Amino acid sequence: MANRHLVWLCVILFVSGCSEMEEMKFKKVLVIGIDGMDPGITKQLMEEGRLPNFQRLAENGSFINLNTSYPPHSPVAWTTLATGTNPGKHNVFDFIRRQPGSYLPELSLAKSASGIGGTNYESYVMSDPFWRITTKNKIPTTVIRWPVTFPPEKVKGNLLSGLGVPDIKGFLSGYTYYTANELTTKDKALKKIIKVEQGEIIKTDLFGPKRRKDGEIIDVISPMEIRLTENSADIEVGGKSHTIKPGEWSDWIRVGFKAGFRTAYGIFRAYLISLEPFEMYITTIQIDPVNPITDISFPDAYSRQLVEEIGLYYTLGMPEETDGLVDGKISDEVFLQQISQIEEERLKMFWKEFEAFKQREKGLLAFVFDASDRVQHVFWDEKVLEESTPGIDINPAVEKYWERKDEFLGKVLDQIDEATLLLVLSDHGFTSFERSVSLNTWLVQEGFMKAEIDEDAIFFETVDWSQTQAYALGFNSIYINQKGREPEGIVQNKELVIQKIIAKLEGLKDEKTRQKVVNRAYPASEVWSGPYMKNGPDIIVGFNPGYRASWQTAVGKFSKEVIEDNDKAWDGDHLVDPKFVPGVLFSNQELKTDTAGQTDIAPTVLDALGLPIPEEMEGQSLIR
Amino acid sequence: MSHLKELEDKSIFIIREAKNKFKNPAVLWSIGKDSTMLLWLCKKAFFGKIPFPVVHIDTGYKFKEIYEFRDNMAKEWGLDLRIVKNEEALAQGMGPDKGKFECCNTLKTEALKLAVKEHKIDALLLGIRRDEHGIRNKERYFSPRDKQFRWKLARKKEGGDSPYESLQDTEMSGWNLFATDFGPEADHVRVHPILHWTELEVWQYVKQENIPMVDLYLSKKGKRYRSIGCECCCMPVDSEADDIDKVIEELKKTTTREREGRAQEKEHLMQKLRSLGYM
Repeated sequence: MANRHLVWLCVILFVSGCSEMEEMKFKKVLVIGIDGMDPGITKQLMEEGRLPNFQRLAENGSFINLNTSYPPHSPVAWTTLATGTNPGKHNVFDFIRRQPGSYLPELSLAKSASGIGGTNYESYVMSDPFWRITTKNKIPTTVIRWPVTFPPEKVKGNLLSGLGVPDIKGFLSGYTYYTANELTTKDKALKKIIKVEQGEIIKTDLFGPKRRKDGEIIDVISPMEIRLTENSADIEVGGKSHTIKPGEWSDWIRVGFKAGFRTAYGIFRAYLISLEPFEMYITTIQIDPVNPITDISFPDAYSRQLVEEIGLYYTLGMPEETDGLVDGKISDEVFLQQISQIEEERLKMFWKEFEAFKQREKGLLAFVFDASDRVQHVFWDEKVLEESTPGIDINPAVEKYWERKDEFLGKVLDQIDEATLLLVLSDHGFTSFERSVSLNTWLVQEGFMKAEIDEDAIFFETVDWSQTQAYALGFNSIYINQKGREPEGIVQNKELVIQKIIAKLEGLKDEKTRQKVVNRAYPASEVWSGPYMKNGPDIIVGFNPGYRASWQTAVGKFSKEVIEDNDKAWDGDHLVDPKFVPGVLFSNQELKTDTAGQTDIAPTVLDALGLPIPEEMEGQSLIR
Repeated sequence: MSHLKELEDKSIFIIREAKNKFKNPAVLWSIGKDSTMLLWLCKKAFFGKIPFPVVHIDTGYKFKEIYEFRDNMAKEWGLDLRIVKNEEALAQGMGPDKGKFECCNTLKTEALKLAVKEHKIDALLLGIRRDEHGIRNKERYFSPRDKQFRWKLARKKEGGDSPYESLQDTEMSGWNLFATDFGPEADHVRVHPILHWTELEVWQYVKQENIPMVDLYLSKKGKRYRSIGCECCCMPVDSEADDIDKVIEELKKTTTREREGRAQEKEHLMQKLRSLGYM
């Protein structure tokens, strides 16, 4: 009898023990993503006392490095963070992927299902992000500007798509610069420089979606008239006039492009550089959130509701005008003004959704800021290949950005309760980009590829595939010209070629700096696993800091030299060996580890909300 | 030798080869420009008289101009014309309203199968050209078909490292070497004497030889047909070309545009890729 009681007592204790563990769970999770937040810079600024709120969070909770994905590209990393899986399972391997069954590159952010100017897109992501699981479990879920969430998917709440949302042309960016000056040879090579005639009235066009007419690809255009007065310009578009002075940004301007029966609406802002000679810069024309040509949010009306509450906003995946800055068409100051516009809009979105989140009993809010990444890409002062002084040279623009983010974090910390798990994290860190490496030229030089080195040739036009063992596409990816997989594949013993290339790459030295270019090159099978490996590259190149693949490499082009100086204003980057560029992870909880990987984040989010972790996810909950 | 003469010589060589190597060749005539030019070449190959049957698959839905032209030419050129119709399907009401694919399949493909069987055709000459469609890029001059009319690319064999051998190795056309023996598995062989011609060259040759053509190809009220067949399934294109010279001029413009279009497409893709800031 006594024994029996004892058994019951044990059962009761065990069950109550379990329920106690359940109760330890949080009611809510707030994930704040900050693209490119680097642990080195963060620590340095914290030590200098310039990030008091990040300091407070680290002291009351935790601050650890978050190991990034192979390779450390934003689309790969954010997808890994969202799904808890590696690229072999989630199917995003690089910014650029090769079109299956061809040697042609394509963007891996979203698949355009209907060619030129198409408005049907599909996602490449093949595993479930955590918001799909919370949605299935009926937990209020809102996701704002998380990269690679275009096209938008259904959630139990709101979703606004981030990186991957195209502009009105179906591109990822594209400014237009109007000038009365004569065009220089350099201008002619740039993306969109329009020559106008100086006069009281300047008649020109805005360039909209592409379409096909009689076999030709043409721009759909919409007229723009600019009336110059003594000290300002009136920009007339679609029957509305907007006045701006030199040195000022206009407010949002709406434009309609008539293509067939449909009108595609776009919005842009103009910056007037000077009245005489007339010079004006306009941002990439964004999809109008009030009347989008393709959905950019779930529910589809959410993008419009947001406008009612916070005004018009940048909708493009990567709206920061880095190209204009890199091409010298806008100054640092003007670029930073544009960054401030984006940040302001994003903060308004945050506080709107955070207010709603605060009122909820249960819920998930995942919110990503990414101007941080773009500011660091173009304002990176450190030169790792030249300097050996300790510490990072931080550009004032970068410093200011982080100080502002610290203020923002302070306000968040003041308002979250104990039932909320807070994770502040980044997808990767940062380093300098000083030397540019053309992997295809290197493959030719080493005899792995047979091609005529022609700098004008595009998409491997000059390659003799019958004598080519490997080719590079994207920023860290080498593919074997495999028999049966590639259209003109020749390699039967893939492993052998992979080993040969890796050995050569790891031995590659830069004659100028006398340094090793590649830290390690990884066979895909060493760092990835899963059913979609066949879509990805065979080798992931882990560059040493200071080096990055050339843009020519990314699109199947050649440079004359294997390694050249990077003389562009895009001087910071992170497309190196993942070991050098981990991201950060802050939490208001004490994490039970001092190192974590990106695949741990999705399991942590689900665990905190008391949901089972799907088998597919590779990481572990960090709050156990 | 002029360019058109070279094209003509090659076609005539293939036509004669087909006559020599097969017992019962026949030529398929849709009355369109390509097959009408093919008939002209057959006439030339055998000095004015085509020594094998000319088969016309009649769907019953062709333009009336086509029927008139067919009957006139058959008389003028002394053709051994065999008109084949899938009477059974037509009697059961087959037509374009039953679905385009279904209609084409029944009234064209099935009728052709009947013709091949009925007339014991072992080689069928057709006027297809490589520039018509991407899928025809891979076609050969002599191309075997099995009983289901599928393109017969390989046959089983004993020994060796593969159980199949290819029936379609690259033709050594530069040497005038064409495989014509495809063994018993090939039901019949398709012969494509004008595979290497382009649409523009066809019209240039039509002009040079003054080959009669159905006038549907010429513009009336701003529209003309670029290809003809059944009345219900053909759409005219906008065109002011009301004689052959103008057709040639029009095609010269469009072919350059098509070529420019392909280059443009590459440029478009490159622009799109480079719109990623990292470029």
